[in-house]
Amino acid sequence: MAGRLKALVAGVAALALLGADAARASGPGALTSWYIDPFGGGGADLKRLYDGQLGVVMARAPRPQLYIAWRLLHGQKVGQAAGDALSTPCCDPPWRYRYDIPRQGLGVDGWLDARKAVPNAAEVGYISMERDGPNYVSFANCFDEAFDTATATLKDRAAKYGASSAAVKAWLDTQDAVFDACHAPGAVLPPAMPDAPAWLKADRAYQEAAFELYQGRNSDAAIRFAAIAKDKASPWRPLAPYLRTRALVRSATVEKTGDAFAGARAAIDDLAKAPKGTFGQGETRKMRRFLDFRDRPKQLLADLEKELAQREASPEIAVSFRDYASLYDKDVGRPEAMDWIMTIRARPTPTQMQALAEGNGGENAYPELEAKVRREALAHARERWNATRDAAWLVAALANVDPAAPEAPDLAAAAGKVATDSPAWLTAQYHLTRLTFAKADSAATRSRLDAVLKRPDLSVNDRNLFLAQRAQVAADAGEFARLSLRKRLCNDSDDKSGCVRGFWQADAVQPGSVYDDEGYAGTQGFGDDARAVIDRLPLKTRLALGRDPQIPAKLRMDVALTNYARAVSLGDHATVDSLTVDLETLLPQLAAEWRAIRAAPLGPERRFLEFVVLAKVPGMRTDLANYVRPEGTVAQFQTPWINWVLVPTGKPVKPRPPALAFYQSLGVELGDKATDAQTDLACLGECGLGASPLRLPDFARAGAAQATAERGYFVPAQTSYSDEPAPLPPAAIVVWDEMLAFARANPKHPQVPEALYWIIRAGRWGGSYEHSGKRAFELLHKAYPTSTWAKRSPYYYD
Amino acid sequence: MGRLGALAGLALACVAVGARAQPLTIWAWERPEDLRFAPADAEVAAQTGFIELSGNRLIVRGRRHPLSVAGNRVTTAVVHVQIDHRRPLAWTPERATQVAASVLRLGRRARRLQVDFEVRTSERPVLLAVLREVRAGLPKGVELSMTALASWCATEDWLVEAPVDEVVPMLFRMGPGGERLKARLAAGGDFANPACRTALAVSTDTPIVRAPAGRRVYLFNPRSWTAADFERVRRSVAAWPDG
Repeated sequence: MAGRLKALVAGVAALALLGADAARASGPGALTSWYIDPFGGGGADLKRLYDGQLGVVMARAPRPQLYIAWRLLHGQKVGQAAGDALSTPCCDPPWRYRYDIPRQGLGVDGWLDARKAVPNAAEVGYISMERDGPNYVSFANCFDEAFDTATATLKDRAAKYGASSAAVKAWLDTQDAVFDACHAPGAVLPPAMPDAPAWLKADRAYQEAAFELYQGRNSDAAIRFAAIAKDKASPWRPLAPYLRTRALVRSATVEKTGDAFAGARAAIDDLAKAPKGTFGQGETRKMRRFLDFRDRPKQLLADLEKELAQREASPEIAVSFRDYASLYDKDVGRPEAMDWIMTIRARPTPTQMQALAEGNGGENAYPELEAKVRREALAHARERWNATRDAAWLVAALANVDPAAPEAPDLAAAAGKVATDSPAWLTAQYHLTRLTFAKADSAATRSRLDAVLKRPDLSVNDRNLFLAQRAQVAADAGEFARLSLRKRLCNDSDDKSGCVRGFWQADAVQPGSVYDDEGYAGTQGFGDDARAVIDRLPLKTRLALGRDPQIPAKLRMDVALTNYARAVSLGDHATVDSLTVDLETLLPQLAAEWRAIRAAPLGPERRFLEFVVLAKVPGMRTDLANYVRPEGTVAQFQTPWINWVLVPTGKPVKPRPPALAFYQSLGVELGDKATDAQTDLACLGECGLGASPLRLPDFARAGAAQATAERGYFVPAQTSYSDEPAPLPPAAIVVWDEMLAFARANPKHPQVPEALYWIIRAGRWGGSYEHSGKRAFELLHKAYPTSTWAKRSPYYYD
Repeated sequence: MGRLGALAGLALACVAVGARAQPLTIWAWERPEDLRFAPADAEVAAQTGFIELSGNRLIVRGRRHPLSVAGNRVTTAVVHVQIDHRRPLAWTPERATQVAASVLRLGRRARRLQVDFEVRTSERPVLLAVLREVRAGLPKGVELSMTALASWCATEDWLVEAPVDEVVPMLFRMGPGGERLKARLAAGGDFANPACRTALAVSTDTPIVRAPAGRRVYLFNPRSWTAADFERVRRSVAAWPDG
């Protein structure tokens, strides 16, 4: 019979080994970094990686990608095919993640469409392909290829015998019941058509066998497929030996007896020995592995170790690695590559987590377990490095050591000795810098990092990493300006980038309004390390940065606006004046406001006008850490406001720069108790658990005293990384209060009605103080009832 | 005298309810979970399904990781839906029907079906279409719940179109506006949207000092639960002032 006879490979993939989707992140989506990517970056960078050019090893990469690093560290090849396979969650069909790989059929969609061609077909809008298992689990029971086969068969039968014929209708009714069995244990086949033509009888026999398979009656299915294999007249004969084998394999996994496994293996052997080209013959290795996983795990692990130790990557490397990792997780053995992967990651194992869940540990049980795992990982990595001098183990130790740890000097020294032609060299250079930043001579560090950055073959991710380090030893502000920028990678809406992050973190999105263009557009921005440094500079240095032409206009605007907030807070009207000139160009939406400020004489009116800008730009802050860029029209500027509080000259508050952990929010989140020493703003925690405390460049250190003195006049919008509301400092000036006082005292001032409108808005969206919105509302409607601003404010909200 | 503020606002007036316990519901997401430690008065919302709309393809699957839980503690079946933003979405009425049928099938094992579907502004019609179709097919007696970004409840009013019995604003991973919202709640305020006042969600790793009393509290843990995690967050919730 003509027509496609599809290999039921997806069935084997599912049979084979853990063929489910990778477990996805669930719950709300998360913001992710736009310049550090632990998944290898874009297509070009990944290709270089697969071709043997190992960059900085990212300890937070998925395990299969860490395995790529292991191979390259040991002189083993990867290549594009193996690299692609290992960079994709195993073991769904390739088309699941890559649209450039065509899907061979349309699965259920194609089937539902095809069956509409049969008149009076039962209405079927949806077919579930899974069965319920224990513990709320579902398992795949039917696969796309079964639907593709059914679609092709239906089209063939309809073409030959007529879509409206009773026989085709009977065929369809039976097939619908077969697919019911995908999910419904109670599915029942309709009676066979009396006096059915031969073709229908043959198809019915096949459908009955498939029905038994989906119902889990595997032995019965095997018997039926065996009968079809002997029926020379059946068009399904070529598939039958494979399907019989598959049914016996399924049976073995359910019955779990020696006889069942032996029967399945015998069937696999028969299939393997069948004439070359027999349908499904290519799946015998997978099916053997599938059984070995269950009844000979130790032997399978030994086989996999041998296979994965080969210099060339096998075509099945992703599936093999998946089994290898799963056997490790099941404590079948401790193969070295997995040992290394788990050590560099230093995360609790599933077994440890299970023990924790079942135990009676206190509220510190998990942090204590994490700390213990990390200590053990570092000790183990050092022991393996000392015993083997295998650079991979040095890399694992480096990833887990803090700069202040007693082990750090020796490990840094070892990192410094890694040869430049070693695949571990870049990783060693990164950690060498991280571990020696605090004490090494700045000029020497600059020189070494410049040599790294000169390499034309750095990946985007690696260049961003080394720029972050180099910026922290910048010789002066001008050099820092150049080094503060990071190139964007893996734009989440650009599938042409070739990035694979979306395969592993489908719900992660990059932030907006932080680049050199509006919204989500843009190709570069400040690194988080750079933002932290900029926030710790004195105003004078920041002013120069905000005018540095090396920095794109949008980012200069961000610096200028935070400078403006600082200047207002400091009462530095001269600096405010000069900033308004810059901001007329950088934020022209407020051009009139900037000019009005310059034109106003010093005194209450001047302050009022300066404050009006604070009211019109809700995201205005003194620090880039929590600043939100105004974009679009004034009405479109992003909420929320803060309650602006100033302190008079001579009455500074305790200076509290934003905690460095706050800048790391796009990487590994540290929680609100994390100290500055625990942060890693260069790699955002993705390179390993070893911290990388921020090193202020020398020019910034020189201005630190001034910066600290100035910060005494920046009342934090939040006093800590937790959520406790901030108490007002003594003699505090609440900006809205002063604006309301000016408004009452100067009712004819042309800016007053609009200012009141903005105070009402601020009161609604986060910036209320003592019902400031209500007070503004009352004054606006009493004094200016017919004004546009009153008409635009029908309510107050606080 | 000016007009009083409308209900649609973040009122500082406290919620006037008597002291009563917040029903706690533990979210069991797609990872191995052993919740046998959960006390009798805690409920479980288990993710039982995953749906992805990827261009013109629909990927549907059930839960893959086991959930161990005592008795009939799972009162909510959660179906997570997401859109693959690497592909232009091919959205048709037929697809909406299929998605809804998938949701109903995957979420059929509890008395509350919760749809967890975070959408961008342009995708709101997709979410609403799914919810309408799910509502139409929901068995009698089953409640329909949805998770929501906190910002949807604070600053946006399109949620009135969602035909659900419960909206669960998530008070974590909220982005720049989140800190102010949490501070506002800490001061005794509430969500602007009245539809968001029957439930809320908090995370173990970003506790909040206060939230309006008397509503269902869903508990999120970024990692698999332990008894200690639950006890810590339970104490934190119990410490919220009443009213």
